[in-house]
Amino acid sequence: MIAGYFVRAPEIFLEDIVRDLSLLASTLAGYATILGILTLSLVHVDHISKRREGQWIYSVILLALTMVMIGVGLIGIIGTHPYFTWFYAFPLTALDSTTYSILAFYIASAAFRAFRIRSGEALVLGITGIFVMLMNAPIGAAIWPGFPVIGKWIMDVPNASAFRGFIIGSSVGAIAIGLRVLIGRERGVLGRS
Amino acid sequence: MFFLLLSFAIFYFFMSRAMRGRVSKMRSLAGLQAMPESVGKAAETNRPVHFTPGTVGFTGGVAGYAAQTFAGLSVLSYVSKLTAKYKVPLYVTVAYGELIPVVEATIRESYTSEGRVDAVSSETHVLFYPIALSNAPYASGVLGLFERIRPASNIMIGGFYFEALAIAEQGFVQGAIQIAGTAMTHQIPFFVAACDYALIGEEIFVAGAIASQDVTLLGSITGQDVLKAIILALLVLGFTIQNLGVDILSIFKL
Repeated sequence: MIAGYFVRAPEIFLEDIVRDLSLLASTLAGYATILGILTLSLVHVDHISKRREGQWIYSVILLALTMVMIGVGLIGIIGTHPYFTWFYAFPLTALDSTTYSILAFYIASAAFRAFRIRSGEALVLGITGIFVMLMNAPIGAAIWPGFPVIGKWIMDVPNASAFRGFIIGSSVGAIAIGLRVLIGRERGVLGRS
Repeated sequence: MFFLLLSFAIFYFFMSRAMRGRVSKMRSLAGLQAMPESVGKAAETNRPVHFTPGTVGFTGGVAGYAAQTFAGLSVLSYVSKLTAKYKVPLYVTVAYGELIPVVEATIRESYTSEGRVDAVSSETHVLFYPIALSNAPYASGVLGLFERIRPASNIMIGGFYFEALAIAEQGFVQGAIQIAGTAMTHQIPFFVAACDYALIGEEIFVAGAIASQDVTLLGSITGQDVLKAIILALLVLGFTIQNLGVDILSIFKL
């Protein structure tokens, strides 16, 4: 797989081998999803059979909706059935967007704690945060034309340099852990000690 | 390709060197040191520990970040040894089905090494909250779980997306000691803001190695630092040559 990323060798069918291996991995992951659904079902059947307080009714809803989605998915096994499209486009998308939108409140509460100035570092964070926020908000330039200029400088110079250092460090770390897994030295993973 | 082979050679050299007994001194990671304390708090308060190896699987479009999931599993090995030792219930939530057998094997091995394999079925719970349109189903599943189990410790190591902040804030609401780490650049500020301890970027890739105190793994960390020093030297060299009027960037077609 690594060689396939760097080497173009049609004469030894390297691309074909890489494509087949990728397909194999995706197929295995598909079977693993079935395993996941089985595990999920077992956990929630257990909740229902033991009538766990505050839980079992949600387990019923979850299992029922899982069965409904699988059912309407199987109806349209050749092409997508309109029922499946409806379930996907209306309840699922709306629920998904709702969960995502909760993030706005979480950001507000986390920012409230993060921007409390209790140390020198927190003061620097607070000041840079104000400049960057006023750079993005239209009112910033209206208050003082310097806000967008300083905000852009913060993003382009100190932020970009720290970001690049971070990327280099993370990439080196990812290569290292990749090698450790490949040669079997990362013993914590895959249940080896 | 050349750089990747050079990286492998450097790592292998320092791993072999460590196996011969020459191990460099490691700086401590506050987040890693806090893990026994957080699991200890869970034992004292009779509340469980929640762990997640992130919302990145081994296949599909997100597989490019799978190294972070491996880093999370490596830390899980350490955390599950602590929960086995302190007899604390452990909840692990995963977003991809292929992680379930890997997580279960990791936990089983840790409990076996602590002589408590019989407690795996009663004290550990691997919960699957699948990803659908986005990570929202996983996020809402974990938020609901937190309401029910009220974890005393929430440890999140791996690749995360928007759910990072949602889970961390819910953990704060539940009063959990929170240790989180990721190499996802856009999620780190959230972890720093919302959690008690944050492992930043490459720290997640070394946390498991430091926790294990395995000399070979510690050797690879030395290799990482050497490789970073080489990259830094190349950056300074390239910057100098370019500013001397030689267009070195054109050689690399940048």
